[in-house]
Amino acid sequence: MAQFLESKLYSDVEGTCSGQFGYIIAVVSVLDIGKGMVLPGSGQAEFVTRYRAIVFKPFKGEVVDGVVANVNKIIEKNTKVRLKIVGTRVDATEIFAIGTIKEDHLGVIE
Amino acid sequence: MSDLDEFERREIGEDPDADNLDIEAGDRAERKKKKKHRRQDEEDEEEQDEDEDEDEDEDEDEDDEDEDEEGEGGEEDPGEARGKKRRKRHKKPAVNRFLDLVADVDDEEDDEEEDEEDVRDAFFEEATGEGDDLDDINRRAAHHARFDRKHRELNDEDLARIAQDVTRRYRPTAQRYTGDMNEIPQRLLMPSVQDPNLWQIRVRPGKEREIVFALMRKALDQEFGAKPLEILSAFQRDSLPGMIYIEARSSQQVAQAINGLVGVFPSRGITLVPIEEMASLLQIKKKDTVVTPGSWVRIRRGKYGGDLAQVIDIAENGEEVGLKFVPRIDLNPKDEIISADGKKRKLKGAGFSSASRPPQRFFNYEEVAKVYGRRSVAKRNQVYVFNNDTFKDGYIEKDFKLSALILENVNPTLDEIMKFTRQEDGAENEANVDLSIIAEAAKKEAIQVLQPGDQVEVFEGEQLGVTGLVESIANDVVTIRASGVDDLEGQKVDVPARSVRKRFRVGDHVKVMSGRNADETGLVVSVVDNVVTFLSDMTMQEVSVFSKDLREAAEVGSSTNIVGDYELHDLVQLDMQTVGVIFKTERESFRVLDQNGQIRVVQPHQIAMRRDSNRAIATDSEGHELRVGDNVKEVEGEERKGQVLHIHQSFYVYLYNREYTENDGVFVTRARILASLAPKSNVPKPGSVDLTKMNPALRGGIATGGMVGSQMSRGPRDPLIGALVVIVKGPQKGLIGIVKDTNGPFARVELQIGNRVVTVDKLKLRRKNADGSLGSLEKRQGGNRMPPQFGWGNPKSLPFFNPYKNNFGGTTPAHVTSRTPNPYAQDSSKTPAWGRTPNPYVQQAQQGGPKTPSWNAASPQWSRTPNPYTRDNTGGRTPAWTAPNDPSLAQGAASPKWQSGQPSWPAPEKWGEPLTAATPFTAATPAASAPTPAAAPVYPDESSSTGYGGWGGGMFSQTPAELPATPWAGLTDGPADDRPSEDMNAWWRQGRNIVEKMVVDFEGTDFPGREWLDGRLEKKQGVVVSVLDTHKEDMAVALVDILPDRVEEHRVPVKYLKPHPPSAGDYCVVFGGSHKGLRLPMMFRESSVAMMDNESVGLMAVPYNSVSVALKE
Repeated sequence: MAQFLESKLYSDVEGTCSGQFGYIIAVVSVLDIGKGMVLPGSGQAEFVTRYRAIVFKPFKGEVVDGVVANVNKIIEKNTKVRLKIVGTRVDATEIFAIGTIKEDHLGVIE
Repeated sequence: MSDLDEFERREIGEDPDADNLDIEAGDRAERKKKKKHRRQDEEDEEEQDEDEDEDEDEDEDEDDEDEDEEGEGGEEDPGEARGKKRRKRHKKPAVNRFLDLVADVDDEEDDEEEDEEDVRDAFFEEATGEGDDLDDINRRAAHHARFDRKHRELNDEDLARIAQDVTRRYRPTAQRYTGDMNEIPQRLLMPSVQDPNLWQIRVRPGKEREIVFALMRKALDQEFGAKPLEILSAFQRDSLPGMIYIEARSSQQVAQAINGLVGVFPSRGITLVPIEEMASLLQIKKKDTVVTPGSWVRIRRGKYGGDLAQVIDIAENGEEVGLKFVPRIDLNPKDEIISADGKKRKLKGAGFSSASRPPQRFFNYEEVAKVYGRRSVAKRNQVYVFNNDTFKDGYIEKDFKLSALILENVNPTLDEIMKFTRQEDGAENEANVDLSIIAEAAKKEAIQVLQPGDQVEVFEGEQLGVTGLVESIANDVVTIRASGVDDLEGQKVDVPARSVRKRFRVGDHVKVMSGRNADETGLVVSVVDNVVTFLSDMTMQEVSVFSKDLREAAEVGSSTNIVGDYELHDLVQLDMQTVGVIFKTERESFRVLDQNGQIRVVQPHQIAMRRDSNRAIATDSEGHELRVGDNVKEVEGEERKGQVLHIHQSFYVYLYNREYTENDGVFVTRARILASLAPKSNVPKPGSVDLTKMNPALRGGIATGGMVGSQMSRGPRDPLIGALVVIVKGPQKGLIGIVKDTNGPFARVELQIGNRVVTVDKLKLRRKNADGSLGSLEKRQGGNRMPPQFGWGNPKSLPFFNPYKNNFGGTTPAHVTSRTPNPYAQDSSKTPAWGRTPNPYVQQAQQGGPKTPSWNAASPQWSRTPNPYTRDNTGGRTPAWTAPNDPSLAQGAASPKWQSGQPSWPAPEKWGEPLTAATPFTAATPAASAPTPAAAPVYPDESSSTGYGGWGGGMFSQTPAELPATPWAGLTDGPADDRPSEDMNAWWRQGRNIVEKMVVDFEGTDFPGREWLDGRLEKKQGVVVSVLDTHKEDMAVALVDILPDRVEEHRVPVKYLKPHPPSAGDYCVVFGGSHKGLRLPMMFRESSVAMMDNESVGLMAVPYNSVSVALKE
């Protein structure tokens, strides 16, 4: 049961993105599976589960490393770059960020 | 300085020293130019001994005068030529002023000049026959100057006389010089009744000029013939396409003159131009011909129609300008070129006749030569000649007539201008864009686009670098609350609007307000001066726009959802077989999910129509009715949940669930595999009998209020059917008939006369009583008005019935209750259906026994109504019923509210409750099972948003609450949509029809820290003229006239505005809820309900907080 719930949690949650927490990269541990409650009218049950996860949510001003995926000029694809986020836009399921490499210590990294 | 001088100066420009050709009148420029060469020689010569002390102004006056003379004199007789010439040389300074010739340096380089002149002026000397001796020249020039001065004095004296002379002599044509005339002759020149009339004739647009010339030729041709043309003149104006004007005594003469000319449409009338309009017709707009090399124009028509072009030179006659623009060469000509001989003809045909014009493309010799053959392209120096056009550096250079160009409102976009930044070598260079030209034009507009609340920075002038928020705008002065500068922090600074620009920072989320990229949103990636580059959210492309066109965007990702006439989540018809729901809007296109689950990208024009499925119903897997707005889930397959967006053919159901990422949460499924969701059904209700469990059907419907289908089928026949009615409005007014069928707000009435069945709006019907009197239709509708009709869950389909109407005249309140929408109520505790309805009576049922008080309400009226559900009145006086005044009886829930209400009219106060209730529906289930008192405690709390309390209490204690079917549905419209609160706060979003003329209060303008105009307008009222909706309260601005006199006008951020609450008798606008948009007077207010006087249905209840005073007019 617990096993199933865990794997269900992984598959449901990992890799998703919420505006509140950002991308959920990996579930680290399940803290509390909670008491399940069978939903009336269907055979399904609901478990309010608390878990610990690694999330990624970019913030303005944050310096991050990344790989170039899409190019419109100068830089080559697949280059590793270090950039500073200057603006973010959070959608329901995605987070967009605009970064700059026009500062000291930013730009292509080996 | 004479009047004439003064006048002349105005003509040339306000500032006599203006060194600018722009403001020069067009024909003047032409004339000057023609004489340029001649004069220049003379002038250079003259320059040296020109009286240095002579006042500049005087100098100018002088030659303006000359100019005038010349103009008036027209073709001067040869004898005067010499004098003229002499006078002409004074022209020089003026000409210089405008043409920026070398003369400026003359003073410093006298010697050099002199030497040069000998050579250069050879022709002049020949002409005058004088020697080349320098002294001689000097002497002669001085002589001339003296003579000139004398002559001028003379002129000054009898200028008026001369002008009059000229006027008299050249009267018919003198109008051409209107602009050059002194004021006095100008007045005399005005046409009077004695003068010939001006006739307007329609012609083929674009052919105006040709036709005028044709007329002239015709006139010349027939001048000495038997029947000369009797017209006096003909002209056309570029500004008035499709018309020419002919001066003649009668229309007969005009008709004769234009007879036989091609492209003239005398059939469309030969219209007389009123005398007072004649002069304005001939006025020359000075700005018309402001063309300077380097300026931007657009080509009016032809292959390059609409294309931007840059002026490279202007022909001497001023009629033609040389343009440079990006060519459109068809590199895929349709006609194969076979022989060199037929080539040219074919090319021409291909070039101009093709419907789809070739794209803009720089001229490339190789490419063109490949397609058209080497022989077709000739190379001369740096220039290619192809097809009689000249190509240089990839651009085409071509002469155009001024009339074929658009000179005003060119508004070149950045993209277009970028095309002109190619360098000689063909490489694109962004750096050398001369943005100053567009920037200049942009500046003018910039003033108009500023809004209070905008972040701006000052980019020129004393306040350079200051940034801040726009506080207010008055004409061209912007008041800024400075920020970011230490010593100015918080201070107000007045700056000219043209020297501020909107400020954006990298990373800002912006939206384009106007221009080609309008509605595009994105994140700013760079800001260079007033050009902002951002990465579009939709296309992920970089877009550069002027900051003036941008605004900071509202909430993230809130790009526009409307393209054309279609909106996100609209159900649209794609073709006969296919419909789809728009799930994503992009710039000028949609992504649509069709009923087969396929995604299509369509453009607005590909959509046949929008479909309305508001009334559509389908049957779900359990046989229940499914409506738009219901929350459902799939019972098989992926078991997705979602809210019903649309229903198509009762089979396909479009659902929306924002949690799904695929197709932005929109998916299509079949109605048959859906089941309603009842989120509340699984909330445990300890200590109560959960009626819901008794009926599986119950689980459907409640959450959304969607009525289960079985109710539909079991619903009674509309009691209206069979009723004798009279049509009281419309074309059939007065006719009597019998209702055969009803369908929503319409009834099909079989007329007594003519044996016809017509469909009539119920509002236009009145019941005809036995005694011949007319009564309200719904009077006897009674409890039969089924919820499925009026929809608990789907109030949208609700017609406005006046809940209160029936209450007037002392009918017992209870009577009204009998209209409870719930027929199943009769067997309260036993019928599962009973519990299912979100019906307060349930509570009563539990309290007062199986017989709901309201139900039993025995009113005379009630018994009259043949209600199938009526049981006999045994129940008699249930507590609630008997005790309208006694709360304790009504229920343990003795609601204080109730007590405060008057017995006769207890309702209104409670009515408000459901309104404020956010989600009454979801709360409904507990109502069913919860012990009644639960409702009561909440009840007194007016602002309670529990909804449940509101409902329970409201309904319950006021049995009189009467036919919930109507009022409730109406009132709860909002809540059901989950939107009401938003409506209230966001009045400014409601669109023009609603906010216009709405009276608003200024509030919060004196709040410390966010003052606006120093709180000067606090507590004042204003009338909304319009609202600029930016989807964000902080940014939206309303244009408000300040009451009472409406003299002052302000652009006010909407956060400072609140709808002005009405009092009895005020004329109001409803800006929220289901009655949104209605404008009618308020009768009185009961607690949180405003009673409005609606002409068609009588009194009408709307939430008080969704009503604002409005101006009537």
